[in-house]
Amino acid sequence: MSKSLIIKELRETWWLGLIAALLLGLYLFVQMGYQPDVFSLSFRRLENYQGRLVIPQPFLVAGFREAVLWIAAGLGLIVGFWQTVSESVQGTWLFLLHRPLSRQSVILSKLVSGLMVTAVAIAVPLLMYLMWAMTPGTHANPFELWMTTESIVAWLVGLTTYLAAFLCGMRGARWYASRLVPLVPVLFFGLMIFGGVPGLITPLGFATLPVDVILIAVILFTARHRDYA
Amino acid sequence: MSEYAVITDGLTKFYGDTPVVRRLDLKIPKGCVYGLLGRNGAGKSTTIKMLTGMVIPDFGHATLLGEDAREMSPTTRARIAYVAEGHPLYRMMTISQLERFTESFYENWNGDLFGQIIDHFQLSRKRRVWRMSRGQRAQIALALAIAPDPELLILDDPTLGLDTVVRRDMLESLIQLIQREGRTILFSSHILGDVERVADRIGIMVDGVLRVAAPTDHFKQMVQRVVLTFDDTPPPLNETEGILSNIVNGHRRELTIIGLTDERRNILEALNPKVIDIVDLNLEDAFIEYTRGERRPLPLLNAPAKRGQTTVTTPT
Repeated sequence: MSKSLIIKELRETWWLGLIAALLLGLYLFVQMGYQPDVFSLSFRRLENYQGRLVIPQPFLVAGFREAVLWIAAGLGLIVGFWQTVSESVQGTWLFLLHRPLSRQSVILSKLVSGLMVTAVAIAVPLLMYLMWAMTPGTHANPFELWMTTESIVAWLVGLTTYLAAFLCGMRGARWYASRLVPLVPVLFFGLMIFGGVPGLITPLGFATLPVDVILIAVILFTARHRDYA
Repeated sequence: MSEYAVITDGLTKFYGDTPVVRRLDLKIPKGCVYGLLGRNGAGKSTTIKMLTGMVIPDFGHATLLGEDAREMSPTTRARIAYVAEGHPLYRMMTISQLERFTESFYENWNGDLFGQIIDHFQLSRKRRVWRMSRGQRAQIALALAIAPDPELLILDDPTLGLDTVVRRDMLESLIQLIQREGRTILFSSHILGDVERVADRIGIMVDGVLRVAAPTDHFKQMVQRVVLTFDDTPPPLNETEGILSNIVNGHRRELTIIGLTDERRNILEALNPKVIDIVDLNLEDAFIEYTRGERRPLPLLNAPAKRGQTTVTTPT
């Protein structure tokens, strides 16, 4: 892998990660009992009619995993396409792939940086929220680590979405529909998460890992065998 | 060690059912400046992309500096520079960033040479690529290609879209920089004047087929225009091999012939012309005559010719 290529990719995509992290941070801030006040551009504490703080159950409140999934998958989708389509649009595949580096190294460098951006941008706000949730006295709800499972699965699906989007951008397909075929497993994971079938969420998280390995293998195969015309 | 920098053997590429390059056998000697010519869609860019491993041939294979183009090692790739058509560069980068990024891949990076070229073209290192003109981007692409000290430089239409001054400046710089060290250059171009000025050898592709592979001067000598002047309307000329175009203009018959052999000269003299003029063509005229193919006159010009008017006939 190439350090300078990883740096170049990070330089081009870090801001996408920052936007996603800010969006997720904002959502989590609301979950911590703060409500944005658009008129004064500030936050105020959420209180009920008795003047007591209202803080939802961390990680398990309705819509939480879906929100994490939307942001993680959205970020993965944009970063994956950004890293591939921008090279195609600028015609810079020809510049990049002629550097004295194996094609596999070029693609792996891109994948490492893209995964870093997607993973870190979602993981950092979630970890901060986790630390807050684990701190005694911050909320009046029970909390255990297993409660984070659904969010971790949503985060993992975000990484799978990134890989699928990268593959979509790499593939030379005649029809847009067939170009988007790699997103099918992501769609399946997404529907399962939204469906929230009890007992399936954790296996789903494990299932993303072999799919990721397959996607990486197909990406490397595609990069080697496609025409950069 | 082979005496050739580039060898292709039956290189063929189809896009769908359309053959873009057909059975290309090309040999480019080391130290040679080779101009690859052809009209739009002739297959030049596809050929160059197959040579650099960007496009996978359907049949045949290519060898660059002794190594298979498809399996080229990073070490060999470092010895080959490639400037793609349109000079693609990262638009958000400054020249300095581009230099640092590209330099990191090469052991033999010549930073002084890069700096000299940038200074020569009076480019600011802080300038971003998207703010540069097409000519400036071409200059940067050239500087980035030359700085690693390549043994083989492949340029796909490097002067496309550049104004005359930038084009000439760029070509001359390129030749000075590379040729003094006996490097090999393969470039495609539409600007025949440029090719004539710098290329030792040329290859002409027509519809994906390499029709000519010869020293530049040899090709120019082979294609000649013969003007036969008669007292009256020129007599008909039977189909003769080697005639690229055949135009009747009043009392004159103008022929473009490839390879004016004694046999062909005898056929022309048998028409009893008053005068036979043989005109040498420059590369551009020779190329045009060679590649024009079947002429398609405008409908207005397709009307039956009257005495004194020019008629355009299909070359035999």
